[in-house]
Amino acid sequence: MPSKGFRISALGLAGLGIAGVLLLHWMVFFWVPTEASMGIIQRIFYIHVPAAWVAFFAFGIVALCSAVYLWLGDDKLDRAAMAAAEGGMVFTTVVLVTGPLWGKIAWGTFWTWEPRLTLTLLLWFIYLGYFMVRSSTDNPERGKRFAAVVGIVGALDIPLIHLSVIWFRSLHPEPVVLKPEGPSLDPDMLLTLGVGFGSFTLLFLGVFMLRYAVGSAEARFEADLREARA
Amino acid sequence: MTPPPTSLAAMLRRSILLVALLWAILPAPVAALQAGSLGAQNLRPYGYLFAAYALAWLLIMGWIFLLARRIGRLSDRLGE
Repeated sequence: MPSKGFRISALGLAGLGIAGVLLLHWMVFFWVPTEASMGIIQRIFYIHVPAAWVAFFAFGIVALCSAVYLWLGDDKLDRAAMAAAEGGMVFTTVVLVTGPLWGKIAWGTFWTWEPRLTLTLLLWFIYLGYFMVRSSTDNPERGKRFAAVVGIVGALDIPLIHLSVIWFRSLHPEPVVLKPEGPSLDPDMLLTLGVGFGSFTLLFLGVFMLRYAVGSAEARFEADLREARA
Repeated sequence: MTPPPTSLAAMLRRSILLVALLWAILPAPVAALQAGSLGAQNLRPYGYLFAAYALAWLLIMGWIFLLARRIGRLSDRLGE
């Protein structure tokens, strides 16, 4: 089970994340200027883009931990992958909910089968599969290995999502921050987006670490229980 | 019939609920006022903006709530 210091760090990170989120709300609704062409609906951008970043970050952790789990077979890595996958699913759902609400105003439709949207929905289904595959077999160790493979394969979709707006003709706006010539965003908007990235990342890391600590405590409890029964 | 006297704790609970409700619903109209005259504009984007933020926080808080419940269940089992 993780140490007390680990749990305190997790709570600290989550607390900082929540403080950052409160600051983000103040900036989004009281401070940042309204974008000229899209108007007020553009403010969805300040949660949509950071949520997408956190989802990709979380699934990156899943892929990394899953790859090392397949190599070393350490259950701690499987628990970390599982905790990150939960967060990734939550933040991908946030992306899939906020995007269509923006799209309804900007494009006149909630959904269109264009490459980035379709690949993001595919990512959501792949990680839904990650949880289903885990519980699909009677042998838990086998379920963990199957899930690890799905976790690695799913992460291959992330670069495709990022590059899809460049490679294909797409309705989705092109990147405004991560591009070779630098960000093309008003400095106040860029700062607000930066606060969004920072606070979402801290909140995710804090809750992810707490989820990992709880998973480890449950595993320890189950092991002690089995030992006591034997 | 007279209503039962309201306890301090109940009043406090209601106040917290009211503050939370205001915190949740105020940003959209404030942003609307910041952008210009309410009467002159189409209000639909404000509704969508509010819905996006509300649903996003519902999902994230839901995740945290489920984790808290899991911690509660584990403490109960450890206490048995």
